[in-house]
Amino acid sequence: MSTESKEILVGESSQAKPEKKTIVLMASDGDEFVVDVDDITNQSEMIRNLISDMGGTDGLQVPLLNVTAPVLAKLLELFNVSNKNDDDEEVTQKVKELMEAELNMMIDVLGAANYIEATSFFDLSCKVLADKFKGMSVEEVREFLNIECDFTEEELQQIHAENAWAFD
Amino acid sequence: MAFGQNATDNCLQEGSHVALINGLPDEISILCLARVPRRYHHILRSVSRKWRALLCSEEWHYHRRKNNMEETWIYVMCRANLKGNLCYVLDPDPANRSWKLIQPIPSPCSKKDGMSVEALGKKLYLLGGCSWQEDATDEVYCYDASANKWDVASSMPTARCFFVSASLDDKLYISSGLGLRSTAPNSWDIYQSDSDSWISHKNPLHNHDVIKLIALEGKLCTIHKSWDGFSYAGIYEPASATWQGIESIDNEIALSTYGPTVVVDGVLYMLHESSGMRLLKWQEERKEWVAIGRLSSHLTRPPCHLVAIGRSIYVIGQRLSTVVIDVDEAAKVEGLMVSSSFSPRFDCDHTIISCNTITI
Repeated sequence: MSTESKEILVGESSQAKPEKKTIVLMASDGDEFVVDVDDITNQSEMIRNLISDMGGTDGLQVPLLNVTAPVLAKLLELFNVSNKNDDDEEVTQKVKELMEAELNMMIDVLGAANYIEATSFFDLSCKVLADKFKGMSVEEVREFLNIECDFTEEELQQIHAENAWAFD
Repeated sequence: MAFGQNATDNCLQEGSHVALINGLPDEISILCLARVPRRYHHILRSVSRKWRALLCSEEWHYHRRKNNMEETWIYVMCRANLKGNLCYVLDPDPANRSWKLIQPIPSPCSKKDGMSVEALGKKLYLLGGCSWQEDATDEVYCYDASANKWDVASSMPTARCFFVSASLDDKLYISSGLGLRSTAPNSWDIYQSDSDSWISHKNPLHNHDVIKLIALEGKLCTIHKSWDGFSYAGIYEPASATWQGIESIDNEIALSTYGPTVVVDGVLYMLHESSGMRLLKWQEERKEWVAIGRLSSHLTRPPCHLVAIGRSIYVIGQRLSTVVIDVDEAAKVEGLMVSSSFSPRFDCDHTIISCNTITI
């Protein structure tokens, strides 16, 4: 979260607005999620631009055709963690836990974050996934991501020979 | 062998029906995978055909660059007394700094003398050379650092050994040296990596006494030594393919024969080995060398070679002993420069032939 957007938040609340503005996000299966405008625009560039293009948030409904309800729920839950913490430590930890517990969900969340242009959350999640590969063996990477080894026996021998000269 | 564009096309077509990571569009998977540090790339390369293809694609390099994830490694060709020529790689990150042998170089190169070694893009080129059994050769071998593989590249138009070479803007320039044919000293050959082809030109240099080429600010500075020992310099302009000698009054740059040189952010530095390991900086405006500081003679084992990564100069000497100087830090204090040094953990008697960097 950038300090700049925090200041805007503080500035608005000090003007004692009666109620928080909200918009509705619609998942691909039709489920509706009411979200705080500041919270979502703090994360999603796409929604920030959309609100600015529409000239306001009144009655705004945003259909997210590529995102299912469970994925959107998880994404919003993680945004919440991110918005509540000044540093990325807590949200990084949550993404890590999600990756270990439900890799497929984590991958879907990553795709959804990219779709709504939640750039810093997306970058953070990419880094969590990339860090996971550090120190993994080839077999462990294949098993972790459920990737089939499609090399021929001959190619595997060649790879083995190459890696014998590569770096441990 | 496939080169340049063809290689990239082949890479991307390979296994295109399967996703890199199940459930993610490939363009997003690439964004994630490109963040994996370079020292793990050999693991990624071995996962599947598609992953292997990705790691040698232009797209991969584009995303590494765009995300500021590129890492520069140092490739050192050396001569070991009993084992012939060997190539080592150094990941300079202090957390995993160690010298490692790369795949054995092609056997014809292992006994050669007088080869030129140049880096261009993601590849290291071994050009020409000769041996006790063999006269000068026109052979070129190249090591693709992103595939960790040696291959054959197009032969030079002229067989050469002990010649000058430089790498500048996607091209290799070679000239001079000792060759088989009488025309050799008089040609100026240019290699284009994207087409893996050579073009031979008439030598634009007026004399055949060039002893060093320095790529500097988009041009080649040519350093010459005439038969009577007189040093002078010239400038070759790639755009117009013309050469001009530098006025003798401004010729002090020709002193760059006194030691190994390196260019840091467009500025030429030289390690003056014969006068107490002084680091000198070429001041283009004043046309003179300015002393930055001195290196402790306990740290270096001359003759040294220099490479630059960012604002640091790596001084690599015999037995792979290495001294790192941050040029900005070095300029702050007079006299002995602040530096760090390290040596390989194994015993070696290696003499350095060349040092190059490749960024991925």
